[in-house]
Amino acid sequence: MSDKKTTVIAIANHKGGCGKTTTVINLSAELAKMGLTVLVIDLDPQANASLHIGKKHPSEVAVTCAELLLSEVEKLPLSIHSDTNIEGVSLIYGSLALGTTEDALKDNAPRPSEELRDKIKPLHGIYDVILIDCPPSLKLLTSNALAAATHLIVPVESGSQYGMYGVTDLMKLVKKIHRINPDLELIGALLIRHDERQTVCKLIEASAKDQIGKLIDVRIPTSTKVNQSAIAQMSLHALDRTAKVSREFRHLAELIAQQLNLMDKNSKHG
Amino acid sequence: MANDLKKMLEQKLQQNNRRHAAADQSVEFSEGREYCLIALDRLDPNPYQPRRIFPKDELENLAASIAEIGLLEPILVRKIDNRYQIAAGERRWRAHKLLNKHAIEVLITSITDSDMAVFALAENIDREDLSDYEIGLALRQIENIFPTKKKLAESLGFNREDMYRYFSFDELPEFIRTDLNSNPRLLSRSAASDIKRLLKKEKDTPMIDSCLKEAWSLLLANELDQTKLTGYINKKLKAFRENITECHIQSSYNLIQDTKKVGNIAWTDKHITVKLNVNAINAEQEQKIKDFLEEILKGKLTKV
Repeated sequence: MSDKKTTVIAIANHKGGCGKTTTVINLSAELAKMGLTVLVIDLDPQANASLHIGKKHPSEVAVTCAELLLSEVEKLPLSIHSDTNIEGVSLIYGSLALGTTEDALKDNAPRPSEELRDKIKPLHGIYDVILIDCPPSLKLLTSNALAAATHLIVPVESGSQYGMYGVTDLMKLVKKIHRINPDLELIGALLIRHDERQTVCKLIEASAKDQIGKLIDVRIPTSTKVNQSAIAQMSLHALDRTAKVSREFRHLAELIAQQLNLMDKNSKHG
Repeated sequence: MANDLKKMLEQKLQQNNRRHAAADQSVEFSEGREYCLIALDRLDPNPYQPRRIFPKDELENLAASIAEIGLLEPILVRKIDNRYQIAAGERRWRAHKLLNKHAIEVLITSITDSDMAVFALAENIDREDLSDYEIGLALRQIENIFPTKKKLAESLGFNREDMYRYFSFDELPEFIRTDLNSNPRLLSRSAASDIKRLLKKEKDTPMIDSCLKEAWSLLLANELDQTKLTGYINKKLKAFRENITECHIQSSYNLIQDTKKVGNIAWTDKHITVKLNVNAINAEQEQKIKDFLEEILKGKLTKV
C-alpha cells in the first residue's frame, strides 16, 4: 500500500459561492463510488463542507485543521474522521478557528505556506485522492492548500463577470506557489451553474479558457438539487443519482480519474 | 417534488439550523475578553466607585446620546459569582436604565481588587466632573491595596504633596463632612488642607470650633469664598485674643534691677504671675523667696 500514489487536488477560487464546496463534496462522493479511498480536508473557516458531510458539528471536534496546522504532526491521526455522511470519504474538519490560525501561522511558523504540506505528508500512500476545500480568500490558508496539492481545479461560476475578475489574481498566486511547489498541475477551470442557452455563459466559457488556460470538459448545470443535498447532508448521488447535475459530477470524476490515471494506480495495488 | 422528499428536507433543515445555532463557536475570542450583552439587573456598580453623585441632567444627556448614536464602547465588567461588577462605565449603565433598556453591551475581563480601584479612579480622575472630596474618599478606600503611599501616588500619577492634600478631607469635623457628602464641590483639596492645618495649630483654642462653624455657615450661604475661609477664622481668633488681653489683665509691673528689666508681675482676675529672670537672683535669694511665700501663706512648698 505504501507505494500507492496519492493525488492531492486543491479546489480553489477566492470568489465566494462559485461552487468549491459543492465540487469537493460531490467529486469526493463519486470518486469513492469508483472504489477510491478519499479524504476531504476542509480549510474554510465557514466549514460548510464539514457541516455537510461531517457527522459532528465542527465546534465539537477536538482536532480540526486549525489545531492540526498549529500543532505537531502527532495530532494527525486524531484529526481524521472516517465515519462521515458519505461512504468511503474521510474528513479533516474545518472550523471557525481557522480564521485565527492564519494569523498564528504568519507569526509562528518557519514556512507559513508549507505547514499543511508537512502535516499531511504521512498520508501519502494511504489515500488515493485528497481533496482540499479552500476558503474564499487568497491568503495563507489557500497558499497552504496550493503548496500541499499536486493538482488544482478552479471552479468558476458560469456567466458571472465577478468570478472572472478574481481568476487573474488566483493565477498570480499559483505562479508564486510554483516556486515552492513546482509540481502543482492545473487540471483546469470547472464551469458551474452553466446554462448553454445563455449568451453570458458562452462568453465566460471562452474567457475562462483564455484566462486560466485549461477548461475541464464538463459543465455543471444549475440545479435545485445542490441546495437540497446540502440540507439533506447527502451527496447528489445519494439524493438523486439520475439528475443531470449528479450525472455531470459522475462524469467529472471519471474524467479526472482517467486523466490522472487514478484507477490504474489503484488496481495495481488492489 | 415528491412529498416525502419535501418532508425530509423540511425536517433536516430545521435540525441542521438548530444544531448550528446551539454550537459553541466562541473560539475566536481569547478567554476572559469577550463581548456580550448582559441584562442590566445582573450588573452591580463598582464598590470602589469614587463618584458620590450622578447629576440627573448629565445622565439624561448621556442617555440622549446613547439613544441617538448607540453605545460607542462596551462597559468593562468582571464576573463575581453569578453577577457582574462594573469596572468602568457606571454612568453608561445608569443611562441605559434611564432609557428602559433591557441589556447593555459589556466586555468581560478578570481583574483584581486593586485594578478595580485604580480603574474606577483613573477613569474619573482626569475628568473635571469628579470633585476633590470624592477623589480623597476614593484614595482612602484604596490606599491599603498599595504597599506604600508613594506607590499609591505613583500609580495614579500624583505628586505626594498633592496626595496628602486629598487626604486632609478626612481630618475635617463631622459637620463639614456631612455637607460634603451631599455637595462634594463645596471645598477644594487646598482649602481642605488649609483648614486641617489651622485646626492642628489651634487645637488648644476653645474658640476654634465656633469660629469654624460660623465661617462654614457663611460659606454655605455663599457669603464667604472657600479660599478666604481660614483667613476669616484667623482674623476672628486674633480679635478674640486681643479682647482677652484687655479684659483680664488688670494691672502689671515691670521689675527693674540696675535700669535693666529682669521680670514682671501681672494681676488678672484669677492669678498673680511673677516672672523673674534666673540670673537676677542667687540661690540664697531664691531660698528667701520660698521661705517668704511659705510664711505669708502659712503653707508649704512641695516638690512636684
